[in-house]
Amino acid sequence: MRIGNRIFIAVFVLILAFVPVATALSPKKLTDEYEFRTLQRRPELTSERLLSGKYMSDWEVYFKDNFFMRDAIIKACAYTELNVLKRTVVNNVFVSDGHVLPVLPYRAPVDSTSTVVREAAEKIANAARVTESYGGEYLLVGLPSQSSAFHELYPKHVFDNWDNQQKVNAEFYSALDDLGVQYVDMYTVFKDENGFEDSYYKTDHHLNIGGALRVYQKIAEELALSVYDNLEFYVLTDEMIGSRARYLHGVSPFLDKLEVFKPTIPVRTREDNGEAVAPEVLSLDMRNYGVFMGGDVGETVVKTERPELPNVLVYGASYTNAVEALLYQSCNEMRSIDQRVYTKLTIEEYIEIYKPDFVIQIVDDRSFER
Amino acid sequence: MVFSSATFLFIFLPAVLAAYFILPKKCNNFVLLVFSLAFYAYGEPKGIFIMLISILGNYIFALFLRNRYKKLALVLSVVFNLGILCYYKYSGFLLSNLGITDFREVIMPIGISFFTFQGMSYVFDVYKGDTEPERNPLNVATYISLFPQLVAGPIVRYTTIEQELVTREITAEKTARGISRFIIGLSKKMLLANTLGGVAAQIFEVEPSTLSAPMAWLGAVCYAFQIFYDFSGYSDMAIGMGLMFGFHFLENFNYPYIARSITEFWQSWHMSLSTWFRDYVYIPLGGNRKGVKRQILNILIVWMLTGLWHGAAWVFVFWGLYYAVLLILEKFVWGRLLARAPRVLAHVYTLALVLFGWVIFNGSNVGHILGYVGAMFGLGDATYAGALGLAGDYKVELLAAALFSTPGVKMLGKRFKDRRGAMVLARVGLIMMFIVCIMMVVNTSFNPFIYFRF
Repeated sequence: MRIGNRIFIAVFVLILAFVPVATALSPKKLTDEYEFRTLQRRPELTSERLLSGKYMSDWEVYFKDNFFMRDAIIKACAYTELNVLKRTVVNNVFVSDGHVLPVLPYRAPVDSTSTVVREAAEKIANAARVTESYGGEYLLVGLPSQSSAFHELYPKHVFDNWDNQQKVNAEFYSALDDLGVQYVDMYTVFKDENGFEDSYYKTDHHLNIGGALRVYQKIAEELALSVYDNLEFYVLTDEMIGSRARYLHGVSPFLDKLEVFKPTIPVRTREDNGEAVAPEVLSLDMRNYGVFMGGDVGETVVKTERPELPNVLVYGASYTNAVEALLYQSCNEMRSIDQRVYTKLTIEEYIEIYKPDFVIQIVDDRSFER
Repeated sequence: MVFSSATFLFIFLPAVLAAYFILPKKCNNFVLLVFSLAFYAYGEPKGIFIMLISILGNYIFALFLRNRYKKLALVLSVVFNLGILCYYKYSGFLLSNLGITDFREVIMPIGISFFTFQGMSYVFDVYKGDTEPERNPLNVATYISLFPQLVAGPIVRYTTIEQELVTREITAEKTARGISRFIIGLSKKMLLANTLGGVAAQIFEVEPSTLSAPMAWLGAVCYAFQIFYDFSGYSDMAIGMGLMFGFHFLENFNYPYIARSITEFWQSWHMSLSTWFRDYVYIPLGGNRKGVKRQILNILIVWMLTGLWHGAAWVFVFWGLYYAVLLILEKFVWGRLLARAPRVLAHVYTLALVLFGWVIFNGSNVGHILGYVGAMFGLGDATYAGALGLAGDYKVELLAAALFSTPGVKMLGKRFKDRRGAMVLARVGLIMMFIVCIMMVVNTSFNPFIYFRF
């Protein structure tokens, strides 16, 4: 028994000693490709950070972010939860009927969100008025988010916010009607055409090229643009790890097909944030949604030098990227703004300066209240 | 710094163990004191001064309890300790109840309720003559600040460890037992409390009027397991680390969920707190020695204070009084009937009342509590249902939590403890659990203990 005690103590002490040494000696990564974030660097010591406790708490994050065999550990935990314990929800996503879907934060049932939604609609109407003041035309494209598109796949005990979202949608579009803003409700379009399955990735929150194509066609229809949709599509990779699948740290039961197309309309020039870049709309070295337009860029200007075609501004968040890769074909000049990144001018100021013939905002329904 | 953090497990604990066992024995208390103060300062760089003032104050007051100023010293020590506690913990509550809303929020140092009560118990025990005042301030400081039980208990009486503060024996067998206890506590926290706590949080944040009855009960059960395994796990780690350093802390839990009455439940739950209130409030108030009416009043006072100790909010006062009423009813109305009732019935009665108690404890306000209890009785509209699916996702943890809340596994262990093979198997199992816990520490983000609120 005595020797047993000593061996047990020795093993415990060995683990306590080995782990910090191994962590200190193991190579450090700057970013985590699954979490899409920069890992904590060695904390900086300042008196303010020391007294507030931030210095110490950052050490905890630093230790865990750089832990010995961190990737393998996180992967093993995700695998165990998904395949051994068979949990529905793992790392805030769940797998249902061939999709990896997000778990939404709980929100109590709302009777009405009209005030907040109204304010959001008025912001949009401001941009529309500026556009129309010089004879331009404004169009809002409302996209169902992945959770809205596939709300029927949510198990009873996983919150889908669908009841609230429907109220928000109704109030949002009603407000736009009152304010005279032209819009397209893509939820209704996809629903009527039974098009959700073909329009979204399985493991990513964005529209796939099929969905982007449908949005492009709808925009062209609403604004009477010439449409270039007779394209040759092909699969760039069968193994795209979408934004949702990344939460599973490489143990997603399936991956996505990343389909792109062969552009037929040449891009003459392209500028990103004022700097000339390669004149292309597809970054074929990327094996994820970033293939479209090279990812999220604050301001992009694409010119096809066809003056008979209109100048267009499209703005929003990352949902615009795949649509932009198609929409440019219908434009002489296409400007795009990623509102999350671009800070130089307000959208109204931008419209006033460049006076595009058409202004298109693409927004997902979870942003209707912002 | 929490015991389940990577910093504690792989920087602090190895460092304190190394310093403790490598340096000469006469440095042991000094090592513990330095590391305990560092432990507290790590999480509370400003709060450390409050703890040091508390230690100094109690040290000085205890010295005055052996002269003619003893009564004054006792009164001053109570005012001093309760003054610190009231200022940091209850000033906001008091001011807002007086209708004053424009005041600067006072940040409550972690563990202030624990180390204040610990300091007070030292002074009270000296006053009662149970122990002599400690002349060496470092010993008092070590006792009050000892990191294993500093921020979440158990509340250790000075008399429990006064001998061991001076001289204690460390053996391989004791250290091994301490490590086992530590791993068991860490496993309770990481494998059961955290997981079931996530389920409980998910259900409790839902608007109660939308809950189905099964979902409401599932939430209550998960919370009951979370709070038990969280707190008893932390106590296990504290007791285990105490053993590693040669100290014997008293047990804080004794399978409370197998109790057959509320009285029995509170004799098994957070025993260091309930005995503190019994010895230092209930008995000095007269206990049951001054007639029935006075006894009932004493119970109400003690439990109102117990509720307040848990949190500066009327919900906690209500929670304390809830148990006061139940204890009074058991004592004077149906206690005998309960003792004669079939065991199963008595268990169900106790568990149901305890679950309602936890709903009160975890409720955000009176409306939420009433709504939640209503949902437990089927008054919700069941929009949020699917309890079976959710319970199925966590069936392993729920079954383990139910199993380990009974003494069955411990009794089984006792039967085989002298068999070498069984001991080896148990220790291999413990090391594997330790590794799994480490993996979960890496896999999860910062995760505070519930009782850190106090």
